[in-house]
Amino acid sequence: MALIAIITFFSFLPVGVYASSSTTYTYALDDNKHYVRTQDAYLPGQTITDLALDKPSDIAIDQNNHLVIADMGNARVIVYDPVSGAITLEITDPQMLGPTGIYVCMEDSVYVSIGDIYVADPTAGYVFHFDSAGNLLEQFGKPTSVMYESLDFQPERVAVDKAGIMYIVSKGTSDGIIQLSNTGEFQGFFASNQVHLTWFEKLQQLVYTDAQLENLGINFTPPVFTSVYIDSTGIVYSSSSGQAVENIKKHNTQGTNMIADMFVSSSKLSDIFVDKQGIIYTSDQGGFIDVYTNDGEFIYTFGTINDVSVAGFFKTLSAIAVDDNGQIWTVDSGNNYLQSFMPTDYANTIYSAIINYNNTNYEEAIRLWQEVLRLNQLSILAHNGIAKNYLQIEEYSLAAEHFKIAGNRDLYSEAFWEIRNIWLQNNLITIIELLAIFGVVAIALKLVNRKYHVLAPVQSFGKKISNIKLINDVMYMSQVAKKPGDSFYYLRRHRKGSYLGGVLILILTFFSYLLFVAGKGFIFQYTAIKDLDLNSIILGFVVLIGLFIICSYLVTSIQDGEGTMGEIFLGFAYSMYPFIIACIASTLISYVSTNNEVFLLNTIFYVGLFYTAALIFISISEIQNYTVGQTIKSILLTILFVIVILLVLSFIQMTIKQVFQFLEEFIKEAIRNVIN
Amino acid sequence: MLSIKKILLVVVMMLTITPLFIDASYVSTGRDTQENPDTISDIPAANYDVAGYAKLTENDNFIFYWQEDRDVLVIHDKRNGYTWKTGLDIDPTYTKAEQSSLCKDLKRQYNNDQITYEEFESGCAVPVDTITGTTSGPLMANSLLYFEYFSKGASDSVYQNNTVYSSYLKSTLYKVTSTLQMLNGDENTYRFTVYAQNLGVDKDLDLNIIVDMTLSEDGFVLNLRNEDLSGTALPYLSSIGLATFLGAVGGIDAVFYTTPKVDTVLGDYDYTEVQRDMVDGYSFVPDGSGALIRFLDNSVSLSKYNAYVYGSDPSQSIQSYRSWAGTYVPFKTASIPVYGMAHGNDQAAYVAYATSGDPYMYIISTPEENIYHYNYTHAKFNYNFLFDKLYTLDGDNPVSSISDTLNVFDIEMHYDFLSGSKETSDYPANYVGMALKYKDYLLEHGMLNEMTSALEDIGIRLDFLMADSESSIVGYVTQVSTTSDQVDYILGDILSMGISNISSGLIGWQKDGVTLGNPSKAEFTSAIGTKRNYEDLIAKYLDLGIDISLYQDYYNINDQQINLYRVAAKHPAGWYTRILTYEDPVSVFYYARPVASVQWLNKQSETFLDMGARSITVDGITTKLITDYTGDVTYRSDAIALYQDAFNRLDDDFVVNLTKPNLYLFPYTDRYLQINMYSTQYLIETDTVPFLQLLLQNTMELYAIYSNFSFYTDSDVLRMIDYNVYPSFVLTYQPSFVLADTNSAEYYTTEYGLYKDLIQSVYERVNGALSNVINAQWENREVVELGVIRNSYSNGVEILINYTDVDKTVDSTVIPAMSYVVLGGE
Repeated sequence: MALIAIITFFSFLPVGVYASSSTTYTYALDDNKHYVRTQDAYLPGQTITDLALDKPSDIAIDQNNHLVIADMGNARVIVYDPVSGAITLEITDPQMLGPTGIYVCMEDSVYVSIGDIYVADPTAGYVFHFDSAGNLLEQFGKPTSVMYESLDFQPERVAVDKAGIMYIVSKGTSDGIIQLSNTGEFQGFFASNQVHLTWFEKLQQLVYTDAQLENLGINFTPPVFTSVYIDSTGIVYSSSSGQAVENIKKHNTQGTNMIADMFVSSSKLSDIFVDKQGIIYTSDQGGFIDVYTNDGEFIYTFGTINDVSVAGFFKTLSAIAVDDNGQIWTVDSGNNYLQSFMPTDYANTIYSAIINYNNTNYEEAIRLWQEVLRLNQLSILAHNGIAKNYLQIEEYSLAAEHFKIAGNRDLYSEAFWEIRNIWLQNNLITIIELLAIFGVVAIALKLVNRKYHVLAPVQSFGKKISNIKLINDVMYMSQVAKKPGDSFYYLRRHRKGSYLGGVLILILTFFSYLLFVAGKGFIFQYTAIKDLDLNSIILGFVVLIGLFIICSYLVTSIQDGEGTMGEIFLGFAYSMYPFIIACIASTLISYVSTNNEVFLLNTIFYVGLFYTAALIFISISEIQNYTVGQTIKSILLTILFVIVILLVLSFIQMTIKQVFQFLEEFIKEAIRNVIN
Repeated sequence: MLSIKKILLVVVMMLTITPLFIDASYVSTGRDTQENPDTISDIPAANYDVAGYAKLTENDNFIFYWQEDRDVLVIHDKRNGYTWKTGLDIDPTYTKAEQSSLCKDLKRQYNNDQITYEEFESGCAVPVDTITGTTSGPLMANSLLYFEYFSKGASDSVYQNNTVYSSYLKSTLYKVTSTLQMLNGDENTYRFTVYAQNLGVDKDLDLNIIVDMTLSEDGFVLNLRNEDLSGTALPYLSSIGLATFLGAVGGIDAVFYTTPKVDTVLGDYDYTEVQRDMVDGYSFVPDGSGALIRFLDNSVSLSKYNAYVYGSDPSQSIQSYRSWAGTYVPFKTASIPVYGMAHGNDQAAYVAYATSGDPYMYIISTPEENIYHYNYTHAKFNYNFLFDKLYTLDGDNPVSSISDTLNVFDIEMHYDFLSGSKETSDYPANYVGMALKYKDYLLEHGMLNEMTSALEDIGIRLDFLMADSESSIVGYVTQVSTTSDQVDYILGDILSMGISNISSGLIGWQKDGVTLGNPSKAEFTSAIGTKRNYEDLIAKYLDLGIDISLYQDYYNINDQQINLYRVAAKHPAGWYTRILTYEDPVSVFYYARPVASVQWLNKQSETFLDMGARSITVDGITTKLITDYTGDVTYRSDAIALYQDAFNRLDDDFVVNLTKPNLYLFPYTDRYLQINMYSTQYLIETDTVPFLQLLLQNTMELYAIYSNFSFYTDSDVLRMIDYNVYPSFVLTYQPSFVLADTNSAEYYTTEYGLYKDLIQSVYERVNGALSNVINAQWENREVVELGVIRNSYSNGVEILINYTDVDKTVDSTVIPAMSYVVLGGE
């Protein structure tokens, strides 16, 4: 029944769109780094079941485009020609007990010849070096170096560079990738993985004893490498399993990862392969094949794990290789067969576009990306790709448009800077002229007005408006900001301002804050408006302010404060002016700024925030008639009190939820008993 | 003066009396005399020959025999001299171990010079089918029928599924007796009774099954009425399988061989396991468009094909009330209850189909690399199932249980035998013959109706995705990708390209779009199109011969679009059955109760009729069936009846467009949308064939899956021509990233501007071929060589298709690479 469930459960999806002969979906990333379905990149090709394989664990492509397979269970390495369907070479050796890693040399040099096959065998504890005819040339066992004495040598995967230097992943060795010279001498660990702990785990590491840490199950050993590969340009790549970041590494000669910031789609990688164009392919234990550009940009992923034998499904995806025709070959060690995947037009067009961009053929690349967009209008990769090309050929508006769709804020910022720059260059003179004229007109108008009072009606109208009580009350906050001391005094004595005015100011504060959070320009607006939880924001705002005022009143009344709750409320509300101005100003400025000016926005916001904080400080001091020290103490106590109340409230909320759940269950049970 | 009371009395009297006059069918009661019971008579012992076979009957095409010990029906086809058996017909007592001990004995005798080497060799060197080495293998291989039942001991936490075979029993786990008797003295009808005892953990349950067998000029029919199932084990009955090994191919023999004495070395014997030569041939399964499973000696173990006809039932096929969407393409449904087997090259074949019990039918094809080493295909019917019963509010710690009530249905399975090639028979012994035979059956019984088209060009299906909803700061906001005016513009543009035979479905026409639009209402918004806009649009294009319909899925629902109370189907566990996806903004989907779906369909169709629509497009209920456990259980067969009734009522008023309909909706389908062009691609499936298309061609218009999504290349266009299927596209006016944050994000490329040219080129290519065969019957499909197909039609036209990338010559006609040639015709 379980099998039937596995086979059939997903068929209940709402009838949607799926392409013809594909059996798994292909996913790309959207602008929020979520997976979205995309046009099929690869379609299942051949499934080779008749090679009598037993737990095959690695695959490589040789110089003749044949497949070289490590058939671990049968202790042999076979070379298979998929075109003729024949095994062209079978390599066995009495010492080779269970080969799991293959590397085929693709270049001639003093140390290696084209077609040489290196085999890593953890059971035997050797790395074997065969020539292209299958003759054993040499074998390398555990290095005799003192540094390596205490470690095991169980080579699982191997990669060899032109100089015959071997990079070996050894089973269970968490120290890193072993580097052996072409004579088998230990040269050190080429690269290693770091342990990545979360903040909480770091805290635990500080606090707990070793025994307790072990109980918790936090892993302090670095994640293991699972595969190593050297591409046609000699760069070493590695894949690891078990960590969320830096699963894929592209090493420089020192072993440091050149693409540390990349988004990695899977965490338990089993193999890595890089084709001649530099496209990176990885296979993971969840049955997914991920494809990246050479810079580590994620392209797409596809695949699945399922017990049912359907083309394109895996039981255990152990290794991956790509032949000269772009066909992906995978090894399924659970099902003992090989599965190939053919690239679609979509995939090939994407690769062409990337290659053209790398070769600076921008026009051609743009044409290809547009073709990709036709096949998939939601492709972030295509929008990014096309935008980068536009950036190179100085079509900044088009670049900005596509970066925006792709959600690429950093590069959008660059394009926008250029657009702004051009605009300024074109219009700066005009602006200065306009400003000059405006200045002259303003002065002239002032002079004329002094003599002839032409602006009298306008001025009197303005005075009328500002004399409206409510507006006057609200505008008083600007006075508060300029002269806080006196203003708070007047507020206290109710000579200026009003409660209604205060409420209006707080409403205004809320909306300006909301504008700041939700309405900034594209470059700085990281959360989409639709993802904002309006309810929480409103609730948070109202509760926090309300609590602060109440707690302040309570604290200050205990500590001989003179102010009433109303006065505290007024003082708090009327301090908001700088904050409001800061929010509105930084929001407006965000529309014309780029990443270079982020400091400006932050400055404006924080200045406003701190100014408001200072005003609140002064308001408490004035209203309660405290000294500085007393004010500080009062504020700290208030904050503490607010935190305590919040904790109590959340505790009550939890328990009330329990009470309601209990009542609900009780009633349901009663009803059920009555009906039955 | 008439008082109210008197009037009421008269009315009540009328109401009570009237039924007596209205009732037309005769219902017999205990006061009447019933018909005679069936007469059962044993087959005379004299009819059995030495080997235990009794000749049952002979007709123009077949001679039928029965093997009493092993319950095997033997069908000798006189047309080709081939013999089919419903079982392997092997002696289960004749095992490798037995032969080995016989050989040992003979060896001793030989080495003691008691017998000659020839005698030793002839007695010992005999192949033995290794299936006899397994306990249940030979039983299963012989049995005409087997059943499975659930049992649970007091200390068990889960139910065990046990299998009992009707054939001769050699172990004493349980007792089975089975007999075949003639019915009513008619040598063409027989009754097969199976009685099993000592079932269950305590060995105290029994089960009685009666199957009626009818022999005819086509083959034979098995009838298993629900009322003929009895016994104390009946509540635990899980499934019944029929004719498991009919046509089975394969087998590994333990071939014994002897070595003579040489000098001091004594004579000896040994055996090797040899794969028996397999008959060339294949099983056909209705996976997607149709798939063939050739008889191969697989070297790796591959899973079998196991499909529930009409798709899995979320209530019965899954134990839990909830399931998760996977990252793979859903398996194709077996939409027709038919399978078959072919032996040889156009020599002998059979097609098996269910005419009753189909909603509960599994079609299972087991490949060779299993413990018995045979390729075999059979049908199994589902009576009871396991599900997770829930006792807690949070749905944790479920208890595995079986249902209190069984699925109630009669089984009727037809096995028709085919012989010969196209030249010698109307129904050749291959999948084409199977399709034509089944098609004729369906035509005869009104399940299919031949259609005629007055048009000279093929149709094209253009669906429009109008709108869908995404999350907003408060609630949802609708994103419109196409308005009704834009539909008008696009259709006008396409008409101007010379394409006139268009039909369109509007997806997401309602307020709130596809996912949040309420299927029980018809609410319009001016942002997408008001009711008036749609009426004008429909009327305008109706005059031009283009029908526009409003698309609705009446099966998949969510709690944001409609209140689930009394409307969502329940799992036997008592909760709403649901599927959890990773989509946004709605991620959990439920299934509508069949009664609710039908109500909505009726209601909305009335509105559509009012609006002047003469066409309707339905999805969801056309391809899925669910058993609803709300209150009184609505079984799958009840759901089918409801759907058929609803569509029957629509048939007169509307041109009915259905998405992937199952067999029971074929009579009402005018256009079949999104027809599968592939199979699920199980690794055991060696070929994909257009069986479904062969079956349906010329009875309704067939439209392919949308060309937008990886189905537009040259080879895809050729596939459409090969499969006699018309192209379809889904379009929007706006670029599709407008819907990127809605549930319709999977429609990743739909903008009309990008597809204009492709629509024209694909249509012209397909029309260029298929316009020549409108109204013609598809008679044959032949693989001339790998990659080259020849389709023949009743009007003399032949279409040759070349899928390869080199030119090919067939009978002096050159077919260019990746292209087609049309020959002949009027």
